[in-house]
Amino acid sequence: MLLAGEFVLFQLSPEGQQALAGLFPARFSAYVVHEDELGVWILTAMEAVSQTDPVETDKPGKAVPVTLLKRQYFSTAVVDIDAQTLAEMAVSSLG
Amino acid sequence: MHTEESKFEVFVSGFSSTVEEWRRALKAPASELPRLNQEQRDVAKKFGISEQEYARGYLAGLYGQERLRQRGTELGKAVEGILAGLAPGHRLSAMVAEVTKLRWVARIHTPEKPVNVAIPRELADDIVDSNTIQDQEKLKVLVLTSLGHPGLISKR
Repeated sequence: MLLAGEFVLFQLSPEGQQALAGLFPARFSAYVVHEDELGVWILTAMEAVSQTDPVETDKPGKAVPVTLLKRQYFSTAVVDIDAQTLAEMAVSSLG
Repeated sequence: MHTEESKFEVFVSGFSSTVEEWRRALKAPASELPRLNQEQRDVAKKFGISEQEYARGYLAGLYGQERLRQRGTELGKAVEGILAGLAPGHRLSAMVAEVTKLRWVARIHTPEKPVNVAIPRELADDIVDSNTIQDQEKLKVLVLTSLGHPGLISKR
C-alpha cells in the first residue's frame, strides 16, 4: 500500500508518542509527500497554509520543509480507498 | 482526427493527489467541501479531527482523481492514434488508472479478443507531459507487442 500522495490519519505508537511529544499529538492528519525505507515524509496542514507562495513542486530551488515520521513511530494509518481498489487488493492478497 | 470519435471511458481508482491539490483543498471555501459518508465521519471523530479537516483531505483526493481523468483521456487518445493504424476492429474501450500499481491499463477490443495493455506510469507521464518521438515510439512498441503485432513496429 502506497501512502505517498495521500491525506492520511496517523495514530502514533507508544514509542512515537514519547519521541514526538510536543511535536505531534497522538492522533493527527497529514499529507504524505514521499515514502521510503526510513518512513513517511509528511506535510501538515499548518505548514502548507502558512506558506504565502504556492507550493511549486516542479520549481527547482524552491524549498518545502517536510517532516520524517519513522515507521516505528506510528501504529495505524487511515486512508480513503475506493471500492474498486479495495476489491483489487483483496483479490491480489488471495494470491 | 480520431479525437472527435473517442468513445473510451476513463476510470480512476484511488485518491492520490499532489501537494498543490492538497493545498488548494485546504483553502477551498467550506461550501465546496464534499459531504462525508457515515464511515468517514466516524473515523474523523475517532481521530479527533474535524469533519471539515477530513473533508479537505478527501477533496484533495477528488482533485487528484479529476487530474488523472484528464491525463487518462490524453493517454487514451495517444493509444487510439496507434490503433488507427491497425486493421478495423481494434478499439480502445477504457483507460483504467491503477494508482496503487503505478500504471494505466488500456482495455482494447480486437477482432479476436479483448486485450489489457499495462502502461507504466512513467511512460504515461512522458506521453502526457513531453510526448517526444521517442515516447511515442515506446508506447507504440508496448501496444503493438501486447496486441501480438510486433511485425508492425517500424525498424530504424
